[in-house]
Amino acid sequence: MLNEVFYGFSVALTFQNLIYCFLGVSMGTLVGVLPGLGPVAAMSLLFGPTLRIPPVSGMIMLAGIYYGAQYGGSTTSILLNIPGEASSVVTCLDGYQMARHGRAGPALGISAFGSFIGGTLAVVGLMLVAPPVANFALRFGFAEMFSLICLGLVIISFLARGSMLKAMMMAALGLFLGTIGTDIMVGKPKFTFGIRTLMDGVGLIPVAMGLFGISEIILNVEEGLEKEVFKTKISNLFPNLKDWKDSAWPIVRGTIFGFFLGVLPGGGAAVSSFTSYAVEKRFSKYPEKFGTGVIEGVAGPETANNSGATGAFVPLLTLGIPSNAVMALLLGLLLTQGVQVGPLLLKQHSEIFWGVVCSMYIGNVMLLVLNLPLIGVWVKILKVPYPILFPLILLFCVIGAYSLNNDTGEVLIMIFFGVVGYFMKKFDYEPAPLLLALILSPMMESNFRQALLVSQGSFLIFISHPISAALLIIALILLLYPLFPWFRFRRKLETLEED
Amino acid sequence: MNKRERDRMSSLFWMLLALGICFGSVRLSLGDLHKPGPGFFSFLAGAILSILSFFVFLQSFKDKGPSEKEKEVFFSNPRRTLKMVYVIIALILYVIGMNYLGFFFSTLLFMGFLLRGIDPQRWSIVFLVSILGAITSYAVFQYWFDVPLPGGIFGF
Repeated sequence: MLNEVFYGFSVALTFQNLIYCFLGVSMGTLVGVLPGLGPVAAMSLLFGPTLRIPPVSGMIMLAGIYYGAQYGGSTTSILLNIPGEASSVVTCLDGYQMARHGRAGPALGISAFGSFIGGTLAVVGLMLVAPPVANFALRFGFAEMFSLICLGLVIISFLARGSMLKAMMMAALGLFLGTIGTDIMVGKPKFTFGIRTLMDGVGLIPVAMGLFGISEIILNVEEGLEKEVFKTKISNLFPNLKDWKDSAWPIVRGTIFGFFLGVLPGGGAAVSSFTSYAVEKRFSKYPEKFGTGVIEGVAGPETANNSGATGAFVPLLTLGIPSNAVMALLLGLLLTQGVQVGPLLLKQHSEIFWGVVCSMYIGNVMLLVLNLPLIGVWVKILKVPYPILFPLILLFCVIGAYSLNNDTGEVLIMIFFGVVGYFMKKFDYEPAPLLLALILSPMMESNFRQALLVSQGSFLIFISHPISAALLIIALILLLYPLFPWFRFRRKLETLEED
Repeated sequence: MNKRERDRMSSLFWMLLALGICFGSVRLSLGDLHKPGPGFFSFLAGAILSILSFFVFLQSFKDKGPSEKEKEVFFSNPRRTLKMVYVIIALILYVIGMNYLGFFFSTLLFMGFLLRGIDPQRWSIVFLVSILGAITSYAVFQYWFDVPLPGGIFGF
């Protein structure tokens, strides 16, 4: 493995890749700082230009945006009580209170250091976990891949913040959207309605930019986003000895929980940070103090979100299954560049795997350097009024969508999904399951059809293969799990009636 | 409109859409279970969507009656909602206009409208940000990223 690590650093340390890493993490921090623009929208924006550079450089830059955004998101949470990213929501609870008590500096400082430690250790975890997982996944055939994708979609729905039913509906819708285009077997157009742009299918990027970018902006315009930067002198960014003592175990727990939760489909930075907060409150001797400005409430979640962001790369780089919307975009980049994803990525494109992994070490160092001294700069950027910011963001979204195929049709698709995303938010439907299902739909259909070809039309192939059967059983358990309390209540009611 | 009413309305919409998907899939040909046709997978997706939305529809009747606290006005600020609609219309017109006026001028008009028409900024800010935004984005995407932006009648 040491040889592979050296190889990875030789890829990551080229001048070109260092520049792209720096661009990615800087942009990620900026995106994390600015409310209203998340890493998915930012990555989608730059997707077109990354097609013109080598895939490893594109991956390094886009990955940098993702974990960079976790660093930046904490700044607005602590200073404005507005989370820059979903993964920084819990940081508002104690981070902002710390700022109100004149401790914005230590809050920002421990957030940066915790993110660095979590991110760096998670990269070590990625290096250790990914190769054995990829080796195991080499045993996967068409049936196993189909069942794994099914399980992935069920887990994403299970872990959805809102209603699981609604999340599954969005996954089903995403599966349908993924079938739009020209059928590869018979060459027939499916649901294209004669629209030329749809002949190649509904693009992942316009949908992502619409659901996550445009919809967020038009919602903010409707709500009239106002913010006031907390007027406090930000000094003494280095936590003192007591802060470190109080934060040590939260950082350790955040790293471990964050990484393993990030690995799960549906996992990633947001799930990791929420869980870490709950865990810290549970372990604390003074849980009633959470929400009043305790440093554990910042250290744990901020470590976990970076650790989770890195853990989310495991299923993508080993199985070719994206665990969240961000990973779906990275998968889209690899597929568009003609890179064979799945367990063979490690063998056939080791420069991509090891190059990206090693660039994360470098990226985390860059982020620590960027975030601490440049806090003042980020605060100034926050002061730019949103009515000036949003036209610029819309402009870049339009160019980003156009640059994919030099086609204004893609921009119109983006606007359409922006309106769809707006109504989805109003009616409490999550967009992430839709996006994941959209990218997984062609893979799912292809594996399904090929599995049936191999079995000569017999569906038993999905249960006669042990790995496939196990995956489907887990999916079934998760699907039925929400019914269990109802089932227990009914049994109790029946018992009472009998008495 | 409270949460239950929103669920009822949205689930009906999804059910209708799902039925349309299933109908369209049948027309594409479902094939058979041993050799699925082009419409098979989309039919499956449509069927799942229709069943799940039916459950959501039923669930919306299961809960207790609405309390006053739960009621939310869907468009709580109609004035702001109208501004949001202007933004969407501006986006559509910008995209269509790009092919005729070219990227640069259509961007100037688009940015100018958003900066002045939605939450009005000072004219100096409107001109500065519009011109800088158009020039910078043109330079970055046209020359650095090699994206051939539409020229329109002015050629840029």
